[in-house]
Amino acid sequence: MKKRFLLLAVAAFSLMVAGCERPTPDPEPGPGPEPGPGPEPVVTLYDIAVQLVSEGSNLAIEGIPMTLTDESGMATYDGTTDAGGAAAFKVPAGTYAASATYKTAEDGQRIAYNGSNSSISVAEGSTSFQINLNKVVSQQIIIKELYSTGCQYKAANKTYSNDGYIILYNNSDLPADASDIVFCFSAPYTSFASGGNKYIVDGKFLFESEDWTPAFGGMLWFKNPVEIPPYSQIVIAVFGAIDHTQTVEESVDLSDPSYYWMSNTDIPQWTMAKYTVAETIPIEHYMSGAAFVMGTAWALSNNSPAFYIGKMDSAQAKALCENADEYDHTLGNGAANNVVKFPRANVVDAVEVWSAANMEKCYYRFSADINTGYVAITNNQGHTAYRNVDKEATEALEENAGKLVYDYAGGTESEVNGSTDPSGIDAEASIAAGAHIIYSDTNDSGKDFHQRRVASIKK
Amino acid sequence: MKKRVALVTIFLFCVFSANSFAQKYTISGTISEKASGRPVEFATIVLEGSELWAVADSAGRFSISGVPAAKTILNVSCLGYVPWSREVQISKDIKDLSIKLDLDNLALESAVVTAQEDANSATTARTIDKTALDHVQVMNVSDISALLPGGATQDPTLTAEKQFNIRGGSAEGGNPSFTTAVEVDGVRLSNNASFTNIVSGSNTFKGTNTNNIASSNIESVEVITGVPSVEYGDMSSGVVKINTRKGRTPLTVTMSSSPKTKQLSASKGFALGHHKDGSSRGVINGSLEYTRSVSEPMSPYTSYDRKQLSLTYSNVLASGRHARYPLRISAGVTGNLGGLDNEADPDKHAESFIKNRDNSLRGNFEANWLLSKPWITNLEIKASAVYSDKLQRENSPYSAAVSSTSLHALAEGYYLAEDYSATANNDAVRIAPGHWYNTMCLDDRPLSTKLSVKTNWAINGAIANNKVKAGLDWTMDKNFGRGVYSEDLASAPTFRTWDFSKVPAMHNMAAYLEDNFMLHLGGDSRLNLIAGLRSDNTYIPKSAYGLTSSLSPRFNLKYTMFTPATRHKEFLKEFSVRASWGVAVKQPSFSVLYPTPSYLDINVFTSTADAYNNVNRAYYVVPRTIEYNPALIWQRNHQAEVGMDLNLGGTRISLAGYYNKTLHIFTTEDFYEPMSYTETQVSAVQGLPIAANDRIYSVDPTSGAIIVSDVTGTHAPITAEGITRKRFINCYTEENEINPITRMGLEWIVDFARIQPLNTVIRLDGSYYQYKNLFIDETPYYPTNKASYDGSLYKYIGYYYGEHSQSNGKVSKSLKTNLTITTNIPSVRMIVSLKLESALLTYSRSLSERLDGSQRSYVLADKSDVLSYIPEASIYDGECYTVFFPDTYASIDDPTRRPFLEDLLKTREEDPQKYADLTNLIVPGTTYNYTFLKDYISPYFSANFSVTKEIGDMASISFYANNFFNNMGQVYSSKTGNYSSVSSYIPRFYYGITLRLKFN
Repeated sequence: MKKRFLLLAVAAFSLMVAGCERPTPDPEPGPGPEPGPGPEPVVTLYDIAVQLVSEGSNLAIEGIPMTLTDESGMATYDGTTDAGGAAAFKVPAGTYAASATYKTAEDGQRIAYNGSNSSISVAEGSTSFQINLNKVVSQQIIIKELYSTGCQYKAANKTYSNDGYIILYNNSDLPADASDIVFCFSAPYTSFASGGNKYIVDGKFLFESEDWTPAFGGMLWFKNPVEIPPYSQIVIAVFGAIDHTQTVEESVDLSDPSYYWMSNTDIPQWTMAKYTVAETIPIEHYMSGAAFVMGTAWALSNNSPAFYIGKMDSAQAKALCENADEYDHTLGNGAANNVVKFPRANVVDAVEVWSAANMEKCYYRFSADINTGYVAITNNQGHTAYRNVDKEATEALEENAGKLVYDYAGGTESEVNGSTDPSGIDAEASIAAGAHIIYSDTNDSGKDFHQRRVASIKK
Repeated sequence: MKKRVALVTIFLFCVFSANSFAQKYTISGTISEKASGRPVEFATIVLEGSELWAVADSAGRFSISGVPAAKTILNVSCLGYVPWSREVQISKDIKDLSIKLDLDNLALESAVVTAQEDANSATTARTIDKTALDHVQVMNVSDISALLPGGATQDPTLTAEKQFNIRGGSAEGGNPSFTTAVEVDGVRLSNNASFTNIVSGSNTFKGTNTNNIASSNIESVEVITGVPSVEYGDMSSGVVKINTRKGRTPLTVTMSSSPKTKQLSASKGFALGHHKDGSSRGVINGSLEYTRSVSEPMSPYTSYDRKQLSLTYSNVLASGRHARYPLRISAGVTGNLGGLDNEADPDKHAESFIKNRDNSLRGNFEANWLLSKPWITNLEIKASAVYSDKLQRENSPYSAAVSSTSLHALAEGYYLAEDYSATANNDAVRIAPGHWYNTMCLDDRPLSTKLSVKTNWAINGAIANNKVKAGLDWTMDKNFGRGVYSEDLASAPTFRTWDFSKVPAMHNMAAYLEDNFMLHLGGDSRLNLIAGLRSDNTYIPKSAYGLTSSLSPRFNLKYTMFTPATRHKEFLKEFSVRASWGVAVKQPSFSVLYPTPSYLDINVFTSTADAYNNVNRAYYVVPRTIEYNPALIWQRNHQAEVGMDLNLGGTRISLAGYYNKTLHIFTTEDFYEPMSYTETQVSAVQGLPIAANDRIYSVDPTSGAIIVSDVTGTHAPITAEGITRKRFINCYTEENEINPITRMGLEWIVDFARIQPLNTVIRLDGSYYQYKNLFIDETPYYPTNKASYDGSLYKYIGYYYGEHSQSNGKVSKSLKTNLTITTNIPSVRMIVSLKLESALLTYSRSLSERLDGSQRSYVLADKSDVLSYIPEASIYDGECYTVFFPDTYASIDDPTRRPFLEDLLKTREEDPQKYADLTNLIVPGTTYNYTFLKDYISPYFSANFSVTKEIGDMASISFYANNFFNNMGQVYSSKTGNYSSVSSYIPRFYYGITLRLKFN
């Protein structure tokens, strides 16, 4: 019994050694099998090509790494695509699995190509194969946090809401160009306006069959190029880019030099005194915009905004804002109710906020292709709409090992209509620990956002 | 023509000459209380045709001499007694006439609790007496409007101002409440000198607030809704005459309670004894009232208080040297302390409060001298003064995250905010970030004085008598208030001082002459013609208005065919018809003449904030021009009325139809002037070489240039680059509206014959009312807070026919009826009434049309395209979306008016940028498709119940329950298709109780 076992072991070892031998590169690759060196076992190598295909066409991108693994998993072959999107291998006959992954960013969108083919049977006459890649598109730039609903001003026994801000976040591992991001909110500007949402007729949005979504009040954009590094953010002050805590202890400091300011300098009718900027904010961070509704300020709701960001260069955005012939007047008469038709295809991200105190009166303002669901906010409490963490994706990042902080306690689940981040990951604490956070991006505000108790930038 | 004049002259001579200098007689007798036989001292006896009068002495004796031979009506009245009236034929001396008066209480079958028509008046006038006032427990005298035909009960709280609106709606144009005169004991409660009688945010002027008129001491209220005597000026809608208790009265204590209002009052009138010669020293009547009303019973903290003391002295000097020419004098003073106060309200912001004083001091003197001369019968002199203290104090919280600026500059120029200094002029005060309170005050202290002399001359003939009334009135209105100010300028918000006391007084001298001619046509038949002319001359020295004169002719004609006096057994017991026409002129108030100065404050620079959020702000201050229009004329009302009274088998029917046209309505109108200014953006000072902490900002007061200096002296001052902006500024002028407002209506009262077995009377009263207002004055409009296509401030101004809105007028109609069932049970001295109030028709429709009837708005074929209008389609034909265009427009760079629609159509293709700008002047009516639909509100009802019970002669108790079915239903609007709560139209269930104690 022992003898037999020993013989089998020697045979197996011999086979393994032979199988693991890395083929010698052929200086002159040829189409046919190479003659063996005499009595030793002859291993015939075949030249094969694996073409990457996406959405029915060759993905003609050079340099995409590809791996070929034999059936046993003992042998792997690495290659890269040529300009036509094909990778070449020289392998023995057999069945192989090939896989490829490619990530890129286009127009502010994060695009990942993933695919594999486990049926690559290399044999005489069978040398061309394909990998069909799935194309997964997600936004690079997302709304990480929206704070427009004000806080208490206990010393004065009142509330305070001049301290709104927006955080844009690069939800990818590639730098994101935010230069063409425009800032808008939908109409009606509150979620529970008396008279309801005039855009909803028979349960459908009037604009649903067309290609636009309402933009109300005005539109803002950057004046200068803005790039957001991977897994990083920028903060944009809505009205007062100052240290509000100097006056209102419960508020936030928006005077950090890295912050941006939705300036009124290019919009002469926005004359409200709440437009102030700290000396610390560089002039390059002053934003521009256009108003198409009468008013003295951008009327972002302080209790239930339907806020969104879109992609459009500033010249195009300005022209859109000023094209009175294309205004929509569903909301009512005159210049006080002008609504700009913003192309839905250009919408990058959106968040629908409902007033927690008026839930029974609230209605949606985005069509389902932009956003479903809502996040409820109780206004005047310093609460914000904060993005939930994509737990699976975040945990999958190797660099996050040991850096993620759990047991998130910043939510408001104990409040009426409150909510918290179901991932349990404390994003801000994790970021502070060096982790990279990938936030949930399902186009459902109910799944993507929760009501955060304290603004994330509040120290 | 000459022949006609001669004939009339001869006729009048014949009528009067025979008797004018004929023998005169004396009427004398005694007046006593029927039940006890006690003499009724101070009872007044008036001979209606001759204007002769007397007052009973302590023994109840009276004597009137010089009475011409004629048929006349003898009227006797005294507080606490039922008025007595008889027609008597004077053909000899009448001695020992014994008149016995009934005590006025519920033991009488004739007690009434509704408004009574004044049967002898040639115009429409109604009186509500003490019994009715007590029965409905009036807390605010304006609540008696509910007793007029078609009147509706209102929420009886005092925390909201209330005014009389005679034949007009409170929300209507033409200032119906402002043009209604209110008098207390002949003292006009004018608010002409007030600066606060303008309805905030509107173009409407309010009438006299009736909240500070004590209700417990009112003896009667007469409401003249028709064409009044020329004696009454400075009004154009009607006259409300409130008479308080005078003379000797027992001590009366009244306690009232309702969920919102509590009242405690006491009054007593006592004689001061007699002189040695037996003549009276006079009577003083004093009244004290405390009333407290809250706006919300569940949170009874915001309250209105009324603490009023009233003293009236009256006497008749009829003995000694006055025996032949008795003189009746009275003098009164009334002081009121009170107002609105919400400081105790825990629901409001911590230390904030509103305290609005409603203090007043009224004084009056009146002397009526019976001269009985052939050329003068009575001489009456009246003097009165009403001073009001309407100081409003409001303590409010303020806060600012960055330093804020309060502007107080009065002159045009650029100002940079600086910290408050007690020694500086503080044109622009910088207030540090944080939170604070400040008390702002509006000090309005109007004074109205009046001096009047009136004579009358009665001539009595066999078939006619004639009374001529002539008088002179001088009134002076002046305000002594400080106007707007702050109790702490260092933390005050932006405001401008405007000292009301520096506004010159307004004087009005009026003269009037009225002839009241009565022709007896045999039997009860008579013809009464009253013709009068009033001339008002208003002079405002040291103002642009100067002298403004106006004439008010008025005519009343009444033909009486039958009176009940002689037709007890006939089915047609009474029949009379009347017609009136007249002009009544309303003087303006100071709110009309002097609009509050207004300023355009443009923030032209805001620096960056330092670490403590301090910023430097500069403003361009532009006083808005106010044109004191010297061409302004006084608002007037042309009134026409016809009426009829008849009595059919005991059912009395009174009808009055009227047509009123209000002309030259006071209105404040805008006009615009182009302007430019320099703005410096914050980016212009960013990056300057001077370190932020070393900067000192200043502004050139003329050019607006921002200059940044270096506190260290390292750098030379730098002038920041500015931008020139251009815009329009709106200014004000007082105008008279071009198009009149018309009102017409029909009022009826049907008092069915008393159901004797039940001792019940049923009254059916009501009113049909129609109102039309079409505003056609050109209105300019400039959209502020709007940019032009090129990024500059908006550069166009539109000129609109009528208002800058979809509609420029309104027509409304209403039909209201009341059914009142009153049962009197004299045996138990109780009276019970049930009133069903109904609004059977409530209709309104918005108008958008020109004076020639053509429409000024257009129907849209496609509501998303404002140029898809259909010129030939009517906006009144069903549901439609509409659009309204200005007639012309002008630009900031070229004041030439251009046709709007023509240019709009042209620029749509040729100049899209200008087209985009012009569209901002369009008024699209695309929100609702029912703007011009007829709006019928479904009928609604309310039922009120009142009961009054006297307990002996000492006490009485009244209880009422309004809307006692607690109607909380809904009404339907045919225009919107929506249902809404009826509580917008009728008060909620409400009740109250009053206990009166009388100590004889």
